[in-house]
Order: sequence, then structure tokens, then C-alpha cells
Amino acid sequence: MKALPVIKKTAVAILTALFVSFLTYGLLYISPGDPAELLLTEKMGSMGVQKEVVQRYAEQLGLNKGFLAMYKDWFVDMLHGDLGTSYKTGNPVLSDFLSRLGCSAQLALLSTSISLVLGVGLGLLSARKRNGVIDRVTRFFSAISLSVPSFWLAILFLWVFAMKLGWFPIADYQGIKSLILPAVVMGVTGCASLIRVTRSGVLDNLSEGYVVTARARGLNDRQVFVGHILKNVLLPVVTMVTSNLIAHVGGSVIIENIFSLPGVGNFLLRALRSKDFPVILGFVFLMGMIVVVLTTIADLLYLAIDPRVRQGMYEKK
Amino acid sequence: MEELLKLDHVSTAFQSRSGLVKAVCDVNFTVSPGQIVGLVGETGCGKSVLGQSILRLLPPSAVTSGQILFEGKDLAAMNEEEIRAVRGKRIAYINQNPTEALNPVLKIGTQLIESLRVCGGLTKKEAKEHALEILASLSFDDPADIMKKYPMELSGGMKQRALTAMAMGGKPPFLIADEPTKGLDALIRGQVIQSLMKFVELTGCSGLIITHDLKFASAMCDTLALMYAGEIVEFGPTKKLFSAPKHPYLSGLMASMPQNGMHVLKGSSCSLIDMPPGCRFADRCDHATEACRAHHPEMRSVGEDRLVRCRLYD
Repeated sequence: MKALPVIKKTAVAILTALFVSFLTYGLLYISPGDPAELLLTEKMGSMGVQKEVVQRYAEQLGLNKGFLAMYKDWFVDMLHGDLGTSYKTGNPVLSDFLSRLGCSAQLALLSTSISLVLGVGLGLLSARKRNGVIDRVTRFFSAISLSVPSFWLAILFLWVFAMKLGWFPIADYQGIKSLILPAVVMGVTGCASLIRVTRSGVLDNLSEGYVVTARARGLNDRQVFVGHILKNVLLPVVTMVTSNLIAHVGGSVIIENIFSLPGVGNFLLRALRSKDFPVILGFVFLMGMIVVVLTTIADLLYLAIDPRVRQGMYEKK
Repeated sequence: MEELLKLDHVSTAFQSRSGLVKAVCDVNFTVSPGQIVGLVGETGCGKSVLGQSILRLLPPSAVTSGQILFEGKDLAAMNEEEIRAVRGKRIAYINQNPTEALNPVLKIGTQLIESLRVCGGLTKKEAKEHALEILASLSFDDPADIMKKYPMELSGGMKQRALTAMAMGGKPPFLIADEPTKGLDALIRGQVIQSLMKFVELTGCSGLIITHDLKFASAMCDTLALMYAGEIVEFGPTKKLFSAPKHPYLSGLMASMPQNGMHVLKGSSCSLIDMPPGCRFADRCDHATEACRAHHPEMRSVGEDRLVRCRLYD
């Protein structure tokens, strides 16, 4: 019986993935602009584009079939790992994506880790010493971090640490060394919500009956805190971290752009500008898949943490 | 008779935005070994605050004064470590509402074993065996299965019994049960009374039972302390109190019980922030005189073992 919730969650994830693929394809299909015409214009200049030529070219690319037939072709190819070829670079979309995923994934993991450590750490500290100096400073810091736009902080950091002090590279990508500064910017701007969730979670739980009972049973503060409160606060923290990670996996387009990182977001932005349809389609779809996988992992974590979630799943049945 | 617990001029107040809330005012009474005292009063009269004051479980905004002597030592003067050694081991506490009193994300076994280990330096294995014994003694059919369950998988009555099991762990000589029957239906209330009686029977402890339920109090307690607006207004043996209530508040409460015709007490309790100078019950009392409203009545002795805070008995 323990496997049932897991199977359910996986089934939901697969259905969501199917829906995402259909939606991405559909939205791109109805978006303005004829790819065949755009491509020809690009290749030969606006002079040589005649209707018949466009039509023949569209046939060649398989763009004149009905929507469903085209979706089916794309879907079957996708299952074989073929997401088409970039009009621009001529590379397979999948390999373009994978070559840029490393940078974005490292950035997302690094910045989320910074948010997690800062957010949960400061949140716990500030809840334990409520209204103390640390709490006041933390609350001020979280208000600032919530209101400062990330691009502003990014430019400031770039100017101070990369240009003035020269500690980090500015434009040329040097692997992890280039990721530290953007990760700190994203980590700092992303931790505010975590601080708040953790702090208020702990404070809410402090007045719960079970905390009074635990103290009445003779447990000391540390035992009450670590043994009882922490597990109850974990659930909203997992939610926050997941949404943080998801927001960053899309490759923070703005941050990648400012730090000129070879990430997914930056590449997608360029593809959008040049209307490179297979790349847009493939990237949006693959990012959607990553979101589906991450949400499913978070759901499974809920199941592991909170017995009430497990119970809820049996009751719905 | 030697006393186990002696409350000596105990008062507790909270600082709130609208003023100082005097939840408990100058409470004096003693509990002897083997005695079960019921602390009875309506919601908001300060009885739960008094219960939590004894074990110092209140938030830091609460200030308690007076002496709380337990086994000759003043709980109010103890440091954090000393009071922790009393909690659970010497005085067990069962809170209101069994549903909220258990941690929802930890198994019953985890919480029970933890309590036992805090109380008496047992190894995990010993604690587990002891836990199974206690659960069996509280008539759980399958103790091993209960240990693996989460609180939400148990019924209200079972949760109450699980809490009782936790409180029993240290074989404490004293039990404080705070509204153990609040918000429970009649069937579960019966189970709770049974499990508490079992507790008293198995541990031979004395106790303070806090409740607003007169019927429950009369079933469990040999002595009653009636509380009104933060102070004790009548104190004495349960049987005598019920057969011949002295304080007009107690007579009023008894007349409001269903079997006595449900004559509702008029008015409502005075604010714990702005207290009247005289008797706190005067506004709801049919016998109130000018003197009642002007001067605060002291406790006076009326017959053997009985105390009442009312001018009618001068």
C-alpha cells in the first residue's frame, strides 16, 4: 500500500508532461509569423520571396500539414530524442540545450543552496531570539532583499567585485568562478521568502499545544526545537525551495544576460529574437519537463515528511 | 496532614496591549498526598493559567508571583534546569484537547519513548518495552500497533489515553490535567474519565483537575476549588459543596445544570483588566449589597474544611 501514493504522483506527472507538450506546441503554432517565410527572407533577403517558393519550402519542412499531424510528427520524433534542428546554428536542439544546461543547473543549485542556508539559518535564529537584535537585523535584511531588484544588485556586484576589485571575471566564461557572483545575487534576493516562511513557521508552532506538552514532559528547549518543531516547519520550506529552484532553472534570463553566461535562458532569449522555432519549442518544452520533475520530487518529499499528506491520499480514493 | 502542593499567594498577570490582565489573583490552597482537587470555573476565569503557572509553562509575557511549594521546594524560585527536572518526572501535565497536544508528524511510539527516556535514563529498548506495558495497562488492544501510528490515525479517546500514557511514564506523584474533557463528545468523555481514573489508580498520585464540567469534577475529585474572575471563591469537600453550596456563584452554577432546570446565570464575568473594587461577582448576584460593591471580600471559614469568599456568611 505504501507504493500507491508514489504511483499516483508519477501518473499525474506523466499526464502533466503530455499536456505541457501539447500546450507548448499549440501556443507556438498559433503565434504570429510564418517560419518558412521568415527563413527564406533570412536566407535570400526580402527580394526573392515569392508565394510559390514559400509554399514549396514549407512543404519541404513539413509545415503545410494539419496541426494535429504536425504535432504527432514532432511528438514521435521527440520520443526518439529528436527535437529538430536549430535554424540558426544548424545543431540538434537537444544537444544545444544539454550543452547549456550545465551552466544553468550549476547556477540554480548554487544559488538555491545559498538561499536555503541563509534563509533557513537566519529564519531559525530570528525566531529563537524573537525581537532580539538578530531578529531585528534579519527582518530588516529580508525586507531589503525582497525589495531590491535582482538586476540592480547584479550590476552593483559586477561593478564592485568584478570591475573595481577584479576578483571575478566580467565577460569571459570561466566555469564555476564566473558563477559565484550571479549565484550570490540570486541567493540573496531569493532568501527573503525563506526567512519569512521559516521564522513564522517556528513562531506559529511555538504556541501549538504539542509544544506545551513537550515542555511539560520535561524536554529541554533544544529537544523541543530539533525533535518537534523543525519537522513541522519543513513542509513550507520544501515548497519554497522548490519554487525557488524552478524559478532559477528557467535560467534566470536577466541574470544570465547581465553576467553573459552561456546558460539556457540566455540562449532561449537569442532564439526568441531570431524566431528560431525549433529551439524555442524544444527549450520551452524541456524546461517544462524539468519543472514537472522537480514538482513531483517535492510532492514525494511531502509524502515522506508529513503523514497527514499520505492519509489525505488514501481518503480521496 | 502534610501537604504535597501548597499555593501561597499565587498571582499571575499578563501584559497585553489593552492593559495588565490579572488572570490569577492571590490563590491559596493546599493539596495533600492522595487528594484530588478539582479547580472549577467558567472559561476565562484563569484556571488553566493557574495550572500552567505551577509548572511555569506560560509564555515569557506572563509574570507569576507568590510561592508554589511542591514537596517543600518553591517551584516559582527554581531555575530553568531545576523546574525541568520536576516537569514530567514529579508533576505530570495533560493538556486541553488531545488532538492538539500530540505532535502530528511524529509517531505515538516516538513521542512516548521520548517521554520515558527523558524521565528515567532508560535505553531505547527498555523504554520501548516499558511503553508497551503502559499502553497495555491503559487497555489498548494492540500496543505494538499503536506505537507505529500517527496521532491522526487514532480516535479522540485513544489520543487522550496515549497522552495519559506519556504522563504516566515517570510515575509522578502529582498530576495536573487541564480541561481533559473540553470539546469531547459524551462517549469519549467517559473514556477520558476512565483513563484518568486508571492513571490515579495505577500511580497512586494526587492531582489537580482543571475543568468547567461540574459533573466530571464531582466524579473525579474529593475536593473542589471554585474559581471566579481569577480568585478562588469557594473551597471544600466536593460532596458538601454540592449538597449545600454557599457562594451564590456556586448555587447559580448548579441551578444552570440541565438536571436542575437549566436556569442560566445572568450577566457575564467581569473583565480581568478593570476589576471592580468590591466583590467581583456582585453584578450578577441577587444578594449583593452596597457593602459588597464597596469592599473586596476575604475568604472566611464556614464550617469544617470549608472556605467561602462572600459577605453573606459573616
